[in-house]
Amino acid sequence: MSPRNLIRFALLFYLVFPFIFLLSHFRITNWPEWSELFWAFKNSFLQAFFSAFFSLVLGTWVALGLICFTDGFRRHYRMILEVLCLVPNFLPPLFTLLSILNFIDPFPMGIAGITIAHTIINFGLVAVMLAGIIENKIGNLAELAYIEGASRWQFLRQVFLPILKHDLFLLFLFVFAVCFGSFAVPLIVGGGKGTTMEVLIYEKIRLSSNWSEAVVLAVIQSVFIFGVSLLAKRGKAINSDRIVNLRILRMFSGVGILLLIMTFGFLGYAQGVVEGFRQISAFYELQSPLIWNFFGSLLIGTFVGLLSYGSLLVIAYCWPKAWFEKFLSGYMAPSTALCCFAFLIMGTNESFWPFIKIPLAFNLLCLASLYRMGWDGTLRSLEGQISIAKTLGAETSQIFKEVLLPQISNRAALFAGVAAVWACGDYSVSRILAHRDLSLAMMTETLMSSYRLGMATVLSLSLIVCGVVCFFVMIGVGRVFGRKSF
Amino acid sequence: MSLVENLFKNYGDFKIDIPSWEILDEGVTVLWGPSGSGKTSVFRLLVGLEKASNFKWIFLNHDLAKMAVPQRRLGVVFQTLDLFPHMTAEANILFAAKAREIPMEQAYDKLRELTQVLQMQSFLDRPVRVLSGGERQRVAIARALSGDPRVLLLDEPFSALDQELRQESRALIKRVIEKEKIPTLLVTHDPLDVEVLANKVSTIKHGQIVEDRIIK
Repeated sequence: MSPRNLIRFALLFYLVFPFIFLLSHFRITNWPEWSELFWAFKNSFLQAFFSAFFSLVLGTWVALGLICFTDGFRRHYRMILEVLCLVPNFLPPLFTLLSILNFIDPFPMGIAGITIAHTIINFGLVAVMLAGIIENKIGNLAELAYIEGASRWQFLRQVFLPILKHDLFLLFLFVFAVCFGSFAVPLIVGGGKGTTMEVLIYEKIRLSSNWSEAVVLAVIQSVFIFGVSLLAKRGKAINSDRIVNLRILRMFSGVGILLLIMTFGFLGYAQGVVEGFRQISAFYELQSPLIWNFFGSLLIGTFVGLLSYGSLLVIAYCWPKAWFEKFLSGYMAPSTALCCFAFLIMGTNESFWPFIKIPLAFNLLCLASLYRMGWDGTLRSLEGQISIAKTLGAETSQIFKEVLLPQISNRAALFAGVAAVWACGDYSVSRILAHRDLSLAMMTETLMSSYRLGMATVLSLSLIVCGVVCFFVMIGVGRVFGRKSF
Repeated sequence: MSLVENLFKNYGDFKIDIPSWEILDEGVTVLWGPSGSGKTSVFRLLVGLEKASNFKWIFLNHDLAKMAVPQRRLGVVFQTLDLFPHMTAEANILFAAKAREIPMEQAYDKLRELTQVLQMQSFLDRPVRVLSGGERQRVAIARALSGDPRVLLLDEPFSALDQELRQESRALIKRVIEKEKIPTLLVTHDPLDVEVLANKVSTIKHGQIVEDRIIK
């Protein structure tokens, strides 16, 4: 077997390791009760369904607002609005949760609460993706309909929906799959009424040490998400660089609703900060753990960043290979709880081990997202260069070092930086793998759980500092390696 | 002559079906045909980017089809040129020499020679992303030749250029091929390429060579 194939199989093994490990360690002796399984599955399904539905409705509205800005200097506004749309998706969920918990008081815990949080997190991403699809797929038709005097309603009914229904369905499934497997949000706002499959797995292991049932639940959940992801295979995009006139579809109210939601989110967060600063004296008791946990977050964030950077480069080194690409495209990260418990029961959890296990588990969980966020596209765009280098006689190592690395290092570092920011704001993985608060995010979650929202919000400000530091460390790493390689 | 045998490939709705085909050992063989006739598929099969079973390509007693892609020692220019955008023109050209482990002194000699023939003095140290279409094309050809290839393969190399530049490019390529004395396979749909460059024309239609014509 060639060394490259060996690396491919090693990466594949790493990604499916939690399943293999747990299935080999625990015999399935008893099944969870049907009523309990049905109840958790129903909750997961309902919250994911409503989250996807509302994200799609809100996202479509905002997308029609985004396409108001397509030409000339207006494109700059479009860029700013798109960044605004993506903020809730790229920031750790902790920030969205703090904002909405501060703003909506009393907050409806349970399925409604999970749906609100997931919708706020995902609608912007849907809007950005849909705006691109509209421009590329029906831009020309929109111009033609506009010239021929069609009304907006007529166009929406007779062109927009019939042509884009498949894309809308795919977007729905995409958000559905993400929300179905979500752990961080239901853990905080699920409450007793909204226990999802993911939370039930967590409770089965953490509270009743019932590994056998937890493994069954995790397998059922993974199979279901995998099935949904198979349905949600991406369609082929039609790319058009021409600026199109989408006057027939434009809705400025879409921008209005985006700005309104963002303003509410910001106000909620600001309200929490003000309230937290009023209780500033209470922070004295947290002074010592705060400093240690700041370094803990930095350590976890940087380690996750480096692991993500390395993993993305390993994928690039193994590129292209048809079966490898197919595996990565179809791969769904295992359940957060399942993955973390696999690491938990492996070896010791004392001393520095959580600082190794948390980044490894986090890397395993977020690699699929990073890959689909655009790493696959980056590598595909370089296939022509790889082919020509190969035909010119270059060996794999030369192609990687001289052709790929200088061009992808910065982008890999950017993705790794995003993963580092996510890791800084993570509390769900750490909560399973560490017995005490090791990071600022865990401290923040502890404060949230004890209803000290103001203090939690103030503490989350330090998470931003930590995230920014980790992000720029990764950008620096990317630049250094990018330059050294060539 | 180098001999291509059993070049078959089924793409489902389209087939490449070439039982036997001769490519000149000297001068330019042009594979000419309309869009969708299978030219690029043949090109990719010859280069080795796509596999075909039982395919043979006998060149000076070597079966190139049995060799791995890097070992075939081909010089290739794709329609899209595919220059490495982060490198200078010079680094692009030397890349192939380095890949084939040609001693650096020899590689620089070749670089100087190609620079002169292809008139690249003015932009050799510039990053390729800032070069014009014509300049980029010359770099791609120099890169293909710097690795001391057995055969030069060109896939629609003039398609991205405007008419005026095409004429100039054809003349340059003709000159460099004559000077280097390297057997060349040119894939094109443009009759003007055939008129200016071809020593032999093979016409392809629906994946089959339907006519072979030597041009005196």
